Amino acid sequence: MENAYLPDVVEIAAIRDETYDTKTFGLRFVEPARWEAFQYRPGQFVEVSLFGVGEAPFCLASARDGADTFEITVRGTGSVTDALHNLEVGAQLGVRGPLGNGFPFDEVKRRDILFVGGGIGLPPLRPLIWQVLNSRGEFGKVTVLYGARAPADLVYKDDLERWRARDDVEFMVTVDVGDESWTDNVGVVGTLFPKADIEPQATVAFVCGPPIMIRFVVRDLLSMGLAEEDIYTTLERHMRCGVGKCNHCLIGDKYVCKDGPVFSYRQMKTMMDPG
Amino acid sequence: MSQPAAYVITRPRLAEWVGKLIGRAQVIAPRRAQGGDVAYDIVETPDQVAWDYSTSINPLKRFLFPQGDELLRWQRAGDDGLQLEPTYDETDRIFLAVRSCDLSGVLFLDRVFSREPEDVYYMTRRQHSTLISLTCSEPVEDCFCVCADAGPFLETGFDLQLTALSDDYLVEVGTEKGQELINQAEGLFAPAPDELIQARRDLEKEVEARFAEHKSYFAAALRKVTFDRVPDELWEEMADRCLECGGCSFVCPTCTCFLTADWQSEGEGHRDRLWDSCLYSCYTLEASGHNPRAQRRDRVKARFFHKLSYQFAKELETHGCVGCGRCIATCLGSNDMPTVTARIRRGAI
Amino acid sequence: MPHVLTTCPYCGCGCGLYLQVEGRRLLGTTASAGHPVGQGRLCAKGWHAHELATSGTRLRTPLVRRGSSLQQASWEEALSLVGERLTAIKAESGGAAIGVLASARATNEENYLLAKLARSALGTNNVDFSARLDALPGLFDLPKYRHLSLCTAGLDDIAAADLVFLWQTDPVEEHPAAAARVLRAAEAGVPVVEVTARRGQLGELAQISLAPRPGSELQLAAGLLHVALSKTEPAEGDSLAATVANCTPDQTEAATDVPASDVIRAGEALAAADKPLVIYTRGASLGPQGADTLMALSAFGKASEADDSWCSLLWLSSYCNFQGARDMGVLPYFLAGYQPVSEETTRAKFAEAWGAALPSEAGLPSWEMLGRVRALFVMGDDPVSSLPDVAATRQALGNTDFLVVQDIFLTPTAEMAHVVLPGASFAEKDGTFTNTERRVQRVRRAADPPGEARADWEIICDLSGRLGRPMDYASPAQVMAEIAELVPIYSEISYQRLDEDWGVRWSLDGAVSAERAGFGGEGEEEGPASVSQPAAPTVDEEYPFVLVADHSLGAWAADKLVVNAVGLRRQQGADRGEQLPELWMSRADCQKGELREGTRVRVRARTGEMDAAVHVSDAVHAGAVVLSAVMREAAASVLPPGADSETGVPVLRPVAVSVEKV
Ligand SMILES: Cc1cc2nc3c(=O)[nH]c(=O)nc-3n(C[C@H](O)[C@H](O)[C@H](O)COP(=O)(O)OP(=O)(O)OC[C@H]3O[C@@H](n4cnc5c(N)ncnc54)[C@H](O)[C@@H]3O)c2cc1C
Ligand code: SF4
Ligand code: SF4
Ligand code: SF4
Ligand code: FES
Repeated sequence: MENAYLPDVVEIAAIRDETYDTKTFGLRFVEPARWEAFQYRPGQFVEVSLFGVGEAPFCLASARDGADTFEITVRGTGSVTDALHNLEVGAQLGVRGPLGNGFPFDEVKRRDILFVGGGIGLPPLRPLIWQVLNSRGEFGKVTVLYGARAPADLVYKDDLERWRARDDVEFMVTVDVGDESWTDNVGVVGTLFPKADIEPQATVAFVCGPPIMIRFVVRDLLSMGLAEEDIYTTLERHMRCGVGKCNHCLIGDKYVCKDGPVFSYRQMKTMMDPG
Repeated sequence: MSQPAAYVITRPRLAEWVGKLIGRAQVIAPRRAQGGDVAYDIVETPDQVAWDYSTSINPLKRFLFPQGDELLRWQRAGDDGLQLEPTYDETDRIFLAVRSCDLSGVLFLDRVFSREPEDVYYMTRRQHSTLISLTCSEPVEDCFCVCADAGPFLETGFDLQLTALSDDYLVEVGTEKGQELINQAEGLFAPAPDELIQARRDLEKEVEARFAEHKSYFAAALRKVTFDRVPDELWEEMADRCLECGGCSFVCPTCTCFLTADWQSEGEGHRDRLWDSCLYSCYTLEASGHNPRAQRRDRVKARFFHKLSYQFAKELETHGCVGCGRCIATCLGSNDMPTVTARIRRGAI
Repeated sequence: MPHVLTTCPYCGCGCGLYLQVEGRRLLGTTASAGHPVGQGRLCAKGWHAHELATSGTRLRTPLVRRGSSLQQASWEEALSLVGERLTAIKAESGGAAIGVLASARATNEENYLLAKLARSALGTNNVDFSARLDALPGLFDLPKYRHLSLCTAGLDDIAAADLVFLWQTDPVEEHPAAAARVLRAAEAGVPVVEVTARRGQLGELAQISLAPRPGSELQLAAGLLHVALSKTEPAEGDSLAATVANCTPDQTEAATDVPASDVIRAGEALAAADKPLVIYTRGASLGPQGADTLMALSAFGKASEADDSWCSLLWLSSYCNFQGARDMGVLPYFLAGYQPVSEETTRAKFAEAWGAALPSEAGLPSWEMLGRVRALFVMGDDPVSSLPDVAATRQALGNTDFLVVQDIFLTPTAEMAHVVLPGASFAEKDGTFTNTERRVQRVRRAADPPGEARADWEIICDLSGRLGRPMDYASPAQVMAEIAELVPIYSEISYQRLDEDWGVRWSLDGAVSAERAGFGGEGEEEGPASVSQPAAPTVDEEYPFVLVADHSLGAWAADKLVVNAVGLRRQQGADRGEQLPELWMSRADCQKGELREGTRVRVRARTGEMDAAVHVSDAVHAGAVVLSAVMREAAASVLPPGADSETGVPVLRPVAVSVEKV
């Protein structure tokens, strides 16, 4: 029997500061064979163990490419996340996963793709964005809209530049409140929709971010005419086991950890209390 | 099975047999604790088995999915080299004289924990357990297994099922494992004569008729819960009657909520899992402070959706109640299962 | 036996529970179905009781201060240091320079032994426990209040009552076993009257909810008495009727803001009741005019139809052995069993039994002891967390020459100690607790203490020997045998007797198990001597709200036994680390001030200011803002600790404040 609660040991290979409260960690499996087995799709997540502190779920924030590491991007907000922020390169952690269902990919080929990220909602989208861009020819129009509270809250500044530089992606970024040096858009992410060239029937949207942002963005997308089943989002819930046993993440009869975290708006609508 | 499926054992021989079982495995049976309460507990001698008990204060899950259970330990050798080791419990256990509802509870847990991915901690303990049930001939005030289809007699699920009949015990064999136990106890069991098998059938009918007054109205409640036809005000009123003790989750043979906790001291530590209750206010609290079920009403609703909706009943073959009645005795407020189903059916407190 | 029957270590209700053991490992907790207090039920704390014992944060070795840090030490090193320093300080400054704080959560036997050590080996009557502020302390020495500092009724009286007052207490938070009974009574149609600034959960089921302006509870009680007494013919020379003569419903409304019609309704319900029961806790006694309010409440029985056999006051303690600690003489003026140290014959009796002369001068209560003694020995008490003035307590402890703390966790007090001794939790030792209704119950050893920790009674015996007074007990049972010899109210108690039943309730006249014999305080039924002006602060435009420290609210969060039990810790949201204190505010006031859940606000009073996060609440009445009393350290500048004028007991008074968005 596989033990679904037993983590693999990984090592912190790299640490990158994203913002004042967010860091990205590159992690490498200590056992190379386990890395081989660690095949995942964007939208899936891992349970990360800080032995002695606890476990917390983080989405896989990098696409699986040639490297032997994968990334998670972590905002310090509590016991595990704060402790993680205090670690240095070389520290050992535990990882269980990949967990959850992940985003559809083959199913949305040839469609226009709209990514809408808010704040710390960009990490789950990042590997999918790269995966789509790496098979750019198989998709229609690709649009990336990203909003954050303030310029200081923007993550993945390198990626943002690379996306901005490409002419096969429409990329826009906005902040709720700008500062002196900010010359780009100001306003919530929804204010970018009129500026973007979106063809509702042809588009599949992937929306990640804080709950209120999701609520407003979904409302806008629906009113633009996107179909309920063409809007995908990830749900966040308090989690412990990540494998459908502890019941913490239940919404009605859906386990966010196992049946999700990716849900289409059509599914979400029928779920009991998507608060 | 080619061998006869039923045996008979006399009372004195039963004690002898229990003695043998105790020599072979950890035997867990109803036992009178200090103060007089009966709890499923480890027995060291045959006379500690409280054969005449009505119900026990604890469900069997205490032994298969303990309230506090170590999942793994680790050691840090020097700067690097984190060694992880899972902690499995491979103790052989024989559960003896367990009530039908409690055995049904174990079967329910089997379905929960064997769903992919399997829970190896539970399944390991389960593979090392033998279940010997004892049918009920006297309805107990608080239980309603008939409504939950979980007793008083069982058709399957047990390794052996005992029924007390005037002088002897009838022993029905449910599995190879059960048959094995009979085979190992040379000379203690005799094949059951037909009259005895008939006597057991008669008893079952008679008992079921007597149990009939003990009711929980599941069908109507299931329908209303499934289709979200319970008004919020009713959930609200039930919420006023929940004092968030968690007891209903802890005594229930089918509840499985847990959380995890780490302990660490100088280079070594362990991770435990501990029972949790979905009625606790911080059960869904997120690090940001956001709590999707901050309202007690929503927690009560979520609990009974888990226990009483078709969605779960379909997946787990039955609704999440085996009618043991423990929540009646233990609810600090007044939200035990029969009361809740009655309220939902009537649509009012 | 793998299921070990014992008593819940949290609140004073004393529910019975079984610890599930395999080998020497604690696996869990089960409610006892037959137990008369729990009746098959436990609250969340009880269900998690084993977790405090198995907690990874337990103290496992003695610690000795070296420089600024506490470091591991051997028992020999730690205890000889304690022995030498205490001996030296006693020699230099006398026994009165040493203070001893025992515990509302240690067993009776341990409390008895520590009080014995203090008096016989250290020669001091400075024996107390800071958690004693849970009741109205100091009153026990005043005969007219005696009935108020003991629980005269019992928990089962809730089921018998035909009218229940919840007086400034929320049993759901504080005493769930009592709450379960109130809930059942309310469901059965018994009227419940809630008196509080913050509605509790039971308020939803209450028939009458009274929200006196904080600080005017005495005037409300007097108003209810006025209405109730006006229904009956006053007896000759009835001083009570005269005292409340002016407290008409209109006057009461003016003083308390409670509508006169509600005062009449509640007062008439009281007059008509055969068995009225007033449930109260520290919320009432630690308020302003606490003593007089309690005197007024004690007259409720007389103002009703109740006959003499009915006792209408149910005081509930928040600690598992609050009652026992007092019974065992953990009081500056009493030896065990409330036998005054000032009495020569009493002292002689104990001196003979203990083989040592005893000091005759009464000692200091905890709140005066701190700062005045040179050395302090603390067992299972945490004055930093219990005494109202946190800063003063820390300062006094910091100035103590030698501070020893014996505990199971590194409490805020222990953090300041010179020596820390690791004790055993309730699950690791034998003994007894006495619950709030005077039920003496067994605590049974189910597991071994972690690491090198030792049972507290063993530590005391060891230390006593080092102080030149060897104590030689084979077991706590032997200690109890000695107690039964010396303490009349425990004369019938033995482990054998306790094992035969679910415990034994004692009473003052020695009639064991008599439910309520022998409690007549001289002032019983007399009521307060007078009804003074409300102590409610005056609000004005600058300070429009009244801020109350709520003793029910969040009391768990400050409890070491709670935050070290994993499940309960998560339940407190304590995993999320330091948070701003929560300020409960009515929805109406929040709307007016445009405050939302979590809005950071500045609370200003005449004395100072603090920041808090708003909690929008339907339970708080407009005009009042409520803060958990456990937040008093953060709130010290706005809620300055004061003292009750009559008893000198530290209390927290409501104050007028303003609340503004930051
Ligand atoms: C599927 C999924 C993907 C996530 N991806 C990311 C990510 O990429 N980057 C990121 O910064 N954060 C992510 N989060 C949120 C992150 O898991 C929480 O911030 C984290 O669990 C907080 O843990 P803590 O121990 O620091 O906080 P504490 O408040 O100390 O929480 C204690 C425990 O409660 C549980 N818990 C608390 N809050 C949450 C929560 N919001 N979600 C799930 N469990 C919780 C965890 O088991 C946690 O260990 C994700 C959450 C989910 C459910
Ligand atoms: S819900 Fe109540 S009656 Fe039903 S199985 Fe659980 S504890 Fe027993
Ligand atoms: S047993 Fe009753 S009071 Fe306790 S959590 Fe369950 S429903 Fe609530
Ligand atoms: S009510 Fe008190 S004694 Fe009973 S379980 Fe809760 S804390 Fe323990
Ligand atoms: S996190 Fe445990 S069931 Fe989903």
